[in-house]
Amino acid sequence: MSTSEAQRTAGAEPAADIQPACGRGRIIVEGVNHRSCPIEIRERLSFARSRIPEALARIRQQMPELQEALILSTCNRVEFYLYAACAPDIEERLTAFLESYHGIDRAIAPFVYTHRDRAAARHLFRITCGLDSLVVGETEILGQAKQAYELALEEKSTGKYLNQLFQKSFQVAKLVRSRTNIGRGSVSVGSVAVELAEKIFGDITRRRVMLIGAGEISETTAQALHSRGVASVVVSNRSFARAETLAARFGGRAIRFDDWLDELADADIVVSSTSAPHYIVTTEKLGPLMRRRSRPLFLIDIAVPRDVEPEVERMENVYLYNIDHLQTLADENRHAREEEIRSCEALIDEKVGRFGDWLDAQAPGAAPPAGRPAAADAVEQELEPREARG
Amino acid sequence: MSEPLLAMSMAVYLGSMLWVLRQLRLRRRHSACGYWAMVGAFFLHTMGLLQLTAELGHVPLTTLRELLVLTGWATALLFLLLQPTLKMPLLGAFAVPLIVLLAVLHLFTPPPAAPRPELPAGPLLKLHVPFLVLAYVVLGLSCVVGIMYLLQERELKSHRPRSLFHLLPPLELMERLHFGFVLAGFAMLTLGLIGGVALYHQLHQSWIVPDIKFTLSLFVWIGYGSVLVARGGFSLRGRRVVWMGTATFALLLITFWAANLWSNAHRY
Repeated sequence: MSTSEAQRTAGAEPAADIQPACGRGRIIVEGVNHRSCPIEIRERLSFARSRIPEALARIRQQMPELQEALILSTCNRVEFYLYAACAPDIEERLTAFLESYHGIDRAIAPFVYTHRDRAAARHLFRITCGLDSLVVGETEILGQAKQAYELALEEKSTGKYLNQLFQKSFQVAKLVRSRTNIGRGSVSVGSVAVELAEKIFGDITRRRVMLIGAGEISETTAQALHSRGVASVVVSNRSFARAETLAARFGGRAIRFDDWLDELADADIVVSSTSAPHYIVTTEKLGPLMRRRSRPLFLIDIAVPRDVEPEVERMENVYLYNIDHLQTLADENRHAREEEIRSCEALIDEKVGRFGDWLDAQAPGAAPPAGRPAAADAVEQELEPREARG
Repeated sequence: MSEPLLAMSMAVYLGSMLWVLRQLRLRRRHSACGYWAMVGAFFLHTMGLLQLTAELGHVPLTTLRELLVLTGWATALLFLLLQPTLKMPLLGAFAVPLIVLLAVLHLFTPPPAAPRPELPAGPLLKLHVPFLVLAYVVLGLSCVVGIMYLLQERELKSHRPRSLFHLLPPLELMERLHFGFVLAGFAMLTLGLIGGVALYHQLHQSWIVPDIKFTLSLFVWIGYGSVLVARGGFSLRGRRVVWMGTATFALLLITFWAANLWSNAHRY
């Protein structure tokens, strides 16, 4: 990937804006992400959380003109957030620092992007809103950004500018999630299954899951349910050893394949993924059971050919979803999230504008933005670092 | 003077419902504006009710027209009290049509042709009327929750859930709420009917009440009783039981309003 291509894909600003300015300090973001840089290099550039304090100390030692610094290092990105009063060649020196710190023997410059001031704010706001993630709208990155900020606060490596930038980005993320549907709907088969289970049962922490067959997607789905704290997992598989291994992973119980029907009476969520060429769960087997039980049964049929007879769906209190249903829902949700991006960008534009106004007002001798000096002051006060407020 | 206030409250109720529906169309859960609009409508409704009480010189409990105003007001009150606990953004959008329906019935109900015969003031009348009003309100909300349940159940069975799916609460929660409302409403209905039969006996020395409204009320009582027996006694849950409860409410509405046109004992 060429430099220009890397910068274009990562959304870098035009070259004209890259000229250093010494009139006032600048907020700078420099880094690599999953779009600009292949994983072979990205993984070598990443920082373990335990090494970040030392890296922050070293970079400030090597570049004393840096007044504020923060490192955001996740699976998909390694980024430096900086504030420097006057540092004409800081981007090049930072790239060199990254290469030397990680002992990388090839030039990484083609993969590195840089943003400044408003563009830097837009970049971070998009990240915390989940717009720059591999899975659009995911929330994990917001938590990671908060952790990175907390760590930088502990190290006292942030100040007025990065505090304002990051705290504003968290507010924008909250606003975007409440005003748009960017986080609505699950986008993987496992999380769709969890969402459906929660719409049937509400709290699923007291629900029992049963796996019939131990295929890969079945395991992923069970993992998604297990991570939401289901009460128990029972695994039934033709290979008892495999059932035991899988059950142990979820702290559950393995049973013989012939016993699955007896166990079904206690199960609330059943994930079926055997390689049987015929239906395993039929109306004939399920009918007497459903007449005895008084609560819903959620059947997730991941097998191809299907394990659950389609007519089972007609039974009251039975909710049957096969792999096509789940995949279609995941795809639709992903598409819906992508359609929401425009609304999110509009909100982000507005907030970037306000942040830019505030930034301009910090320049020596600058007048506060017309019509809203008090508001700007209020924002600034609100965004003082938490530790300073006690 | 009460009529303009009541009409205004209905307009604001409708506005709050339209706002929530707009939010729904935009696939947004946030409906604080809708809730506060409903609080405003309830305030106007309360003012109208107080004005009506002042005009009549007594609590509006004596004619069907008065009861319709009071029942609508009590339905809104119960919703507003429950909403902060239940946190169901759509409950208001589903409850408001019921309140508006009661208001429309109020508009289309003519005043009684002849003054209602004086009834002996005593504990039986106090047992009969207020408990039945409360029963109508609670059973009305059971119907609202039941409709929400049936919609969510349909969404889940369709395999292609739409916006409603994300906004409606989980099935099991709504099923439990529906049962709870039916149970409470049934208890009040039972007390109200016992009060009514005892009152009739006091007036006519007969335990047999030859009145269409009473007969229909017995069917309503049997309908809700069947729901409770099916759910509580036979542990039946799901669509059919909720349908039974929702259909019984339709009969209750007929009993509450239309039966007065043919009733002898309740012609007021």
